[in-house]
Amino acid sequence: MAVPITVVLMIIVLFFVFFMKKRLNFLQNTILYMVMAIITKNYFSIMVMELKLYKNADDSSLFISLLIDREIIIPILIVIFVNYFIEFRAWYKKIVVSIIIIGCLQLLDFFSVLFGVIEFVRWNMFYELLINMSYLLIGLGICKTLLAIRSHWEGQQYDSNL
Amino acid sequence: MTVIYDTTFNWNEWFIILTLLTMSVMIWVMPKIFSVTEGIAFFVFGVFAGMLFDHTISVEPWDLYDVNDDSSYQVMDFLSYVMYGPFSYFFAYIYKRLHIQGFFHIGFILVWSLFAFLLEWIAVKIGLFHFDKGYPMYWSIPIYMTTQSLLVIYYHVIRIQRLSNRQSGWNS
Amino acid sequence: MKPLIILLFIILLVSCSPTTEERFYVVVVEGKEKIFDQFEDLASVRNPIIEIDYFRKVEDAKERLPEYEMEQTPVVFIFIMNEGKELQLKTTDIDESIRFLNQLKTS
Repeated sequence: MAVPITVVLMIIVLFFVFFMKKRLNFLQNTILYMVMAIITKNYFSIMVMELKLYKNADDSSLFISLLIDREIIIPILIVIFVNYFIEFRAWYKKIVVSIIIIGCLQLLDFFSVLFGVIEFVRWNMFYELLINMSYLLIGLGICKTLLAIRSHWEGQQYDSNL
Repeated sequence: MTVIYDTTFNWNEWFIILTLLTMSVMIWVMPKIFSVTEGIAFFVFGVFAGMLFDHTISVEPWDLYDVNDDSSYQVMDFLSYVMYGPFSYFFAYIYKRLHIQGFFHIGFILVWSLFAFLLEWIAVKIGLFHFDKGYPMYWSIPIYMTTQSLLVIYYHVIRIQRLSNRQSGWNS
Repeated sequence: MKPLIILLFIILLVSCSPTTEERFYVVVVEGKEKIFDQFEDLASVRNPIIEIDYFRKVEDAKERLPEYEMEQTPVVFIFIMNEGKELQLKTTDIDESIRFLNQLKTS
């Protein structure tokens, strides 16, 4: 059950990011995606191997589900969030998009735990919420850095809306 | 369970540090043919791809091999993944410099894959990788070829995007 | 924004503070043959927590446990971690150590 649901979510998220209006260009979006994927990979590995606060499934098919979450869905959700966050000028819109993306990330965690993709050991959904909020902040930080690089080194003035 | 292969600061650590330092200096010194953002993108691609495979097949449940002194995740392991960054940067750099076209792609990717395989063999000898858990090393060749093909596609998508942005008056 | 971030990190740090669960520490020193397959499933992140360090070289194991003799390999040390390390079992019989750890896991 976990793999079909994850694949469905992945396809929806991929279509969404493909067709949405993006404020960052292709290069910036791919860097943001790759850096976020590096962070999620490291986060999961440290949580499982070092801190032992997560236990990932021994089953290979469930692990594929974790891979899709970690490599595609979470980083792409951050890319969607960052693009909307800098697109919207009104603060209430920024807050709404933050809440929606955090809601999606929390739901993803909920499904992962429900289907046994990951198991929390001395960990809970509240801590997970903090981690998801950190993802959003890191995403914005990367975005701001990329825009700064663009305006300082590449001579492009850019209205970041950040 | 943590498998401890070695506890001293020896060749595997020096290999990572020296490679990373030398390659970073080379990036700094060599004439720049990419914009800063493009350079970052090619660098990050290597780190991303290296980590994607290592954090997939060298962690449980598959857990086919270990990296560095023990099977836990250490700072040196992280640096060993950062080490992939300069290689992917220079892959794109040389690709652009040599104006690789048509069937030459096959030769270019084969030569790079063999070079990567040779480096991996050295890394196994000095204890950076441990394939005792049953990873067949020849599997690395298709992995390198896939990754490098993706990097070539990525390079061209960036180029096409840049050209189309220029035509529409958007400088990227 | 800054105080909020600091608060979030403090909560995160508190959440990572050590707990008082029963914890066992196991040192396995390899002999002529690889035996890590036999110990792989015995490590546990749940109560009782069983941490296993598997040494390929006896010299490295001696560095970790200088107070114990290791003339014969393979050898397994099982400690219970209270305030210090308390040796529960030292054996060169691998089956005996596996039986002991399985018993711990199921108890």
